[in-house]
Formats: sequence, structure tokens, C-alpha cells
Amino acid sequence: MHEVSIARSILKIVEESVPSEDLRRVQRINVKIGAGAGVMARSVEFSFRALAGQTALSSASLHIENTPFVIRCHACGAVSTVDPYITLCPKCCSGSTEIRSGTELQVVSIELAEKYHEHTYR
Amino acid sequence: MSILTVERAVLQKNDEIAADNRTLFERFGLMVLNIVSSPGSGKTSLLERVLGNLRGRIPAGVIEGDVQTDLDARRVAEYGVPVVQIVTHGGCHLDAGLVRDAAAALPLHRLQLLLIENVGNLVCPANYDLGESMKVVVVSITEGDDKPLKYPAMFRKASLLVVNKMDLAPHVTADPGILVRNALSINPNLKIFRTSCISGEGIHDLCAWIEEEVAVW
Repeated sequence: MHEVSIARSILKIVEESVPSEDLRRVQRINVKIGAGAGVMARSVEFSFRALAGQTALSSASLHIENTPFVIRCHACGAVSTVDPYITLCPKCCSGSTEIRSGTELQVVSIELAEKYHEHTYR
Repeated sequence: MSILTVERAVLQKNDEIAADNRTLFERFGLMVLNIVSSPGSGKTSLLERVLGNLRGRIPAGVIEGDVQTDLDARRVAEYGVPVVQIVTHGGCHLDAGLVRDAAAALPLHRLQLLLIENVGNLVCPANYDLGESMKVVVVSITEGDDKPLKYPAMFRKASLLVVNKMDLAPHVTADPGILVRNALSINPNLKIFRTSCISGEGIHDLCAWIEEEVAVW
């Protein structure tokens, strides 16, 4: 269950990227998790909710983009989506392939709401 | 609404500390093996065999990672090597920061080989670079020959595969040949040893390989 520490790292990155007085404006955190990243997206979401609950990020949502595991074959050049780490080329069966994507575990961007205007509360 | 582009790896902090660890280990000319496996594959027994074999030839140190107890550190200390026990209190893997702190308690300048026994777990430790020279994945034949296919990330990231408990192979249906074939289908570059800590099979070959690697490290 390292998803808790993954979620904690995501929170930390947001706290380091956004000035503390603006943290309450964070609406959405966009994260990319590859199929071969070894991380369960649902558990990251669950952990994130639990950890963010008591913080300035309590109303922020986590948006996870799952990226497929893609390899390119050195022999025939085919680019294929495969099960993670099953890196035999499905077209020509060559074992000489490279991983193109699907191992990502990245905070891509953070979306912030416009500043609150005090008069709206008066 | 405004969008702030971040594009930071979630484990960037860990990877930065791992890079520092690697620099430190390289400065001391230290070969560092991160030994990973499921619980009960025989990592500690293998360590004992290796330390016994290399004793007097290669000065080695050990970092032990466990969820609870210092049982392993006490076993390993019997071999006269400096050892630090990390107790994770439930944590399912070692991270680079834990290893940095543990390494600070070891006489690195006197060592040529550092063996890190990770927490028994074939999943999470694959994500955390510790600054090691290479990962060694240990699988006992009793676990079944399908394990490389079920936990491919670990086998992909390892450089060395040790198939352990070979003395039990005749008593189980798992086939070492199929295990090795499955592992190579995930990672064709794996170096492979078959060992038994009971009969001693393969221990000499494994240690000879470690000795050769340390000599050129």
C-alpha cells in the first residue's frame, strides 16, 4: 500500500508549487499514472481524499489520466499497446523493444480558481 | 481560472535523494545491491551464505529493512559485518531517505560491498530507487513459476535473478526452467543464478560473480 505515500508526495508537490495563501484556490490537480507505474489509481484517489481532508486542499479534486503501456519494436518498427512489461513485439515477436510510455507517475498541472472577492461574502 | 504547469515526477524527492546516495556510494567505490523479493523467499539466508563465503575477501556491510523486529540484523551480525536495521513500522518498502540515514551509520570508507535487504514485497519496492548499483530479485521455486508474469515491474527493473530453494524443486510442481523463461520474457538481460541455502548449490557461482563485479566496480 505505497499509494498513501504516493498521495502524500502529490500533496507535497502541490504545496511546494502553489503559494500557501493560494492553496484554497486549488480546484483540480491533474496527475498522469502509467499502466506500468505500479500504482493503483483508485487507491491514490482514496488516500488523497483522506490526507487532503484536513488541509487547505480539502476542496481540491484529483484528476488522474491513465496512460497505456506502449512499446516500439526495434526489429519491425511497430508501435503497440501491450500489458505492462510484456515487451515482446505482438507483431513480429521480437524481444528487442523499447518502452515508449506507460511508466509515468507525474503531477502534470494544477488548476486554480480566480481569487475570492471579499465583497461577495458581504 | 488559471492553470499552473508543474510536470514533476511524483517520486522526484526520492529520486533526488537516491541520486545523492549513488554519488556517495560511487565516491567510496562501493557496489550496492538492493535485494528484493516476496516475504520468505530466503533473502536473509542467502545473505548469510554470501557473507560467509565472502568473509575475509570482500569487506561488506548490510542494511536490513523489515516492518518489525531486528531479527535479521542479529542474524547477519553473526558474520562479523557492520549492519544497520531499518524498522519501517508498517511501511511496505525502503525509500532513499531511509537508506541515506542508515548508510550514515556504516563505515562506508572500509567497505567494498553494501547489501540492502528490502522489505519482503514484490510490488512497492520496484518504485523506489535507493541509489543502488543494481536490483537483485530473489524468487524461491516454491512460490511458483508464474511470479515474473504476475509481478513484471520488479523483474524488469532487476539486473540479477536468484532462483532460491532449488533443493525443494523436486517436491513442487513449479518448474525452474519455466520460471527462468518467464523472467527472460519480461527482461531478456537478466543474469540468473539458481541457489539453495540448504545444499549450497549455486552459492559459490553467485559469490564468484559478486567478487568479479566488485573487483571492477
